[in-house]
Amino acid sequence: MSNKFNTEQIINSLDGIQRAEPAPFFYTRLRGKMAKEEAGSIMHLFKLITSPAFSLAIACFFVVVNGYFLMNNINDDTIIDENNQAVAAEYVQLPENPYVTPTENP
Amino acid sequence: MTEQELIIGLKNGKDDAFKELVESRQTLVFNTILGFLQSQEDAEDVTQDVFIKIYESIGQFKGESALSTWVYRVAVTSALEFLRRKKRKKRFGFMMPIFGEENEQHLELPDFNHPGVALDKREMASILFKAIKDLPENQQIAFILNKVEGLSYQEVAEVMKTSLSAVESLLHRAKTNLKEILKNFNNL
Repeated sequence: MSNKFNTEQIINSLDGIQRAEPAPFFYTRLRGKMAKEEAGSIMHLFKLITSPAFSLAIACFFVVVNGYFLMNNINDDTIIDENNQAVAAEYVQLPENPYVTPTENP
Repeated sequence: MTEQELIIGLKNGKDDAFKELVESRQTLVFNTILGFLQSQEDAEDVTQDVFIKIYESIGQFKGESALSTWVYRVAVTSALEFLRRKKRKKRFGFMMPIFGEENEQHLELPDFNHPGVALDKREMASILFKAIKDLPENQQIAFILNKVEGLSYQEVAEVMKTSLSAVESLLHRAKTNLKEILKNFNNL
């Protein structure tokens, strides 16, 4: 590639190098990029929320939650029904005045 | 503003602390990244990303090292991530036309001239920067931090979280490898 320099010279060519600086107004450009990225992430969120896939996922979620609570309610109703039947059966067996014990009767 | 005040200010999300951090460390970050990327545009872009990362993750800074050492670490990691991403893109570049992404052009960059190198050494430095790209990652880090950024062996060891002797060994191997690479360049 280059026969006019020896390797030692090339390796030492960085001796005395000065630091490179970014172009002026770096902080202003950085702030601009940060603001742009922030706006971009809000837009991304908005796009996600308004996407058909997201709407469908939310709808499915509500269907599943509704189904779950509906199934639980049916089971609860059965238990309440069983309880009601037991109370009714007990009530039928009670004497006319439940506050009077049978031994007190003449 | 002392370093401690600066860190507290950054952790509290104070704008003036962030401005001070950027203005006092932008050259350090830019010059380090430029050594790795060898492109002013890419280096500026990644330098901005480094400061955004620092702004977002200052809470993770535990104060176990100096703030500048931590900033160097973020800069080096970001530069290497950028290079890995670029390599991956290049490797799978042939697949782009299959997926219809033909707009992106992959052109080889021209020889890099570091703006801080004296005019009479520019040609040699340009050859050296080309050779640095072929070094293993660890040797590249040690060589750039020491030769381009001007850090002492001890400072390089702190940034790389390694021992002084390990840095000495890395730099010795880097120079040996560079000589080999440069010999091959001469034979071309």
